[in-house]
Amino acid sequence: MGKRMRRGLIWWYLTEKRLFKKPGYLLVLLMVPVLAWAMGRQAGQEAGMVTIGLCCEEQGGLSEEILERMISEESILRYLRFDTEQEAVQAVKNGSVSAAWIFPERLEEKLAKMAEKGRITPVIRVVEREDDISLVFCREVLCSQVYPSLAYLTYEGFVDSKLGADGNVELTEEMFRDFYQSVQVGDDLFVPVYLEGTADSGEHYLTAPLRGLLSIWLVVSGMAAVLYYKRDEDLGVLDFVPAGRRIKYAFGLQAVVLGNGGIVFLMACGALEILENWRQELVSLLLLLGCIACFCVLLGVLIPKIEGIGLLIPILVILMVVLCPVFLQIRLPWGIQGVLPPYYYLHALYAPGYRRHMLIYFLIGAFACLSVNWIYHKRS
Amino acid sequence: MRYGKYMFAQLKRMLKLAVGVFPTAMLLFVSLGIAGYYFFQSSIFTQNQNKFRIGIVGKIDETYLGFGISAVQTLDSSRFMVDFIPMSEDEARKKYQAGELTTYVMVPDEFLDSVVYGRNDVPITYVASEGQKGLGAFLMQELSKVVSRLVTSSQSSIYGMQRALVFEGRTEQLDEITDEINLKLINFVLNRTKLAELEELGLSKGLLIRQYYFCTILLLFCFLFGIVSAPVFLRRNQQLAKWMRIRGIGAAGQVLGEYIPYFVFLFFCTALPLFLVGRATGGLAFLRWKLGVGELIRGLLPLTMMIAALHFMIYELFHNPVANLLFQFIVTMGMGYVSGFFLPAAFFPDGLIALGRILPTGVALDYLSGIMLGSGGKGWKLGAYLTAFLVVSILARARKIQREV
Repeated sequence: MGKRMRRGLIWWYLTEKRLFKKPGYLLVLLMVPVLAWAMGRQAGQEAGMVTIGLCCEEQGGLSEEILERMISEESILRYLRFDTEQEAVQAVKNGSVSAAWIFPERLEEKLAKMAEKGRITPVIRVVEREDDISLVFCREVLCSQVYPSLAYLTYEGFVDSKLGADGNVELTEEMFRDFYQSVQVGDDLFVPVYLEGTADSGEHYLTAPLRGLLSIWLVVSGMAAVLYYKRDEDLGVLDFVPAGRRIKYAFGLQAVVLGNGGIVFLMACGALEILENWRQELVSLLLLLGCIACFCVLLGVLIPKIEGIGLLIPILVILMVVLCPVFLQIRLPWGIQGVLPPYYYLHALYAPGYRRHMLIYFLIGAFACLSVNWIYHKRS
Repeated sequence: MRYGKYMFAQLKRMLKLAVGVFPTAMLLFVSLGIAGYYFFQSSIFTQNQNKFRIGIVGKIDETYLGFGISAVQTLDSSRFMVDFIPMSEDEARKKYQAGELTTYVMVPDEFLDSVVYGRNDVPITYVASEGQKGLGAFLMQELSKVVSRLVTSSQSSIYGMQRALVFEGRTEQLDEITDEINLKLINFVLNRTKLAELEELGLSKGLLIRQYYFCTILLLFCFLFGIVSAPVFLRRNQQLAKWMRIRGIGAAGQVLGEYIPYFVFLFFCTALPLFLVGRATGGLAFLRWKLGVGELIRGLLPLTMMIAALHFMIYELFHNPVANLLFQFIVTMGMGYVSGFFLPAAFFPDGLIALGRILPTGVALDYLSGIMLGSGGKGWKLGAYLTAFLVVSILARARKIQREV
């Protein structure tokens, strides 16, 4: 082991010792995977983007059948069942559900009548506090759940009316069902893909943004390392090194803090059960850490005062939450998003081409750090 | 008197530091305002102002599919929600990346044949997302299930009817009856939304979505202010606590003497831009509310007291800037996420909603919502947290003094 290498390892060990001396740091690091685990468990619980109250006025009929099918299917809508119409309407009034869908008695009979006449009449009472776009969307879901029964009754009515008494063989209910199911049509006509053509991962909407938030947390870790470095500079800890060469300590501190953060990041992703391919995840994470280190050190060189760094952090957090695809896909034409490391990382998850972008970012970032540091110290 | 002098000295120190902190706080306020605007504009809840724009890639001219799409665009209820725009794949890709399309679907040449013959084995692919999945991608997934359900039920009806006729040996009428059932089913699909009889109670659902996001943005500002004010706390003289104790000012006196100026500063930094924005926008008229800005600012007093106490406690507990920053991030973003700062809390399971409500972020959101609705916030919860944070801060300071003495 070379002398430099040994010195580097000792420095690494001492920095880790300094950081972990205060139990607060360990506590904060442990909090992240624990919270992620708790969140992952909660995502498995019953939840939905919109909560709908369901009520059925008849027992055991078609209404009941549709209700049970809706409740058992996986959906972004969440259904709560109420025994009476009044209870369901009351739930809308007190805001515990966004809408109530009240299924009538003898639904099958009413749909059969519609199928016969060829005209749709309202059968399901929908009670809402105020109509909005999300509830318009919900009503599409409701109608698509009732439509298969209407289509079946239309088919049954058609066959009945067209064959009538002229049929050679009298068709039984079972035969009707058999004919209807005789052509096995596929269920899904659509396949979601990502822009690069990779398949959808089937993440839950509650855990999907957490990876983005964790990558932002890593950037905050990098900025915290810059603060730590600046404070050390202020306290004179680095006085034994010429100012122009201190940048390697800044990178070293990034390596220590981001290394710890990276391990915690992987633990949190594991707890959320969103790690799909270990090798690819690791490559993407290492590239992300490299990009973050360059980004933070460059900001550290450009902003000499500790106050400036502290003040920049919350603004950066907000920018990253909005401009990186954490919750939303906002596309700005001027390439502002391209400055933020999580932007590439979150894209690289499903578009491997972005890993190349991250590597280029890292190389340009490292070059920029060294150049700016050299220019700054030469001038001063 | 001693306490008063100490507090006055801290106030002067705060004023000195404010020269640096205040402009950045305002910058944060403006950034949050712009970010909030973009967040709101891109939200799935405001799509009624901007319809979903879906690009269609594939040969659809002179096919039944093309006819179907123009029928949907002119007759179907979804025309108020969706615009279908035929285009080439390159164009669709560019427009999607430029944010001009919600998504685009690629229709393979064999798709229509596969549907006509009931195989359904050549699916349409649609771009669910670019990068991490957003809420829109989840909605598109549900929408694709809706369309699939409508198409496959219609297919089953038609094929079932054809089988029955063939079984009965009535093949001579097959085409005619198939056309007839097709027309009936198309009519049903186009009028499907009439199955629901809508009854609006005309009650407001609490906060409008714009008011809700206004609350969360204001709270994000207050909570993130803790990071902005890092210089106020990190540049403190660590020996001062010991000296003040010797001069007769105990832990409680010191904490209150430092906390009150910080709270005043936070309140001022929140109230001033709010007041200015209120003046510029006719009393925040864009929120469509009846409350005055003055009432909102008065309501902010207890809220900022609690949040300032939280920041104070964090800085008392974590002296290491790395641990401190990371903890503040977890408090603001982690707890904020659970309490519904980014996604409305109604999206979460019951257990998480309950947890979100008892966290400081959730208590703050409940309180501010109450103020916005004019029903008054639950101040006692804020009071309980305020007391708890100050007591922990005093205990931490007392321990520090004891260790140093």
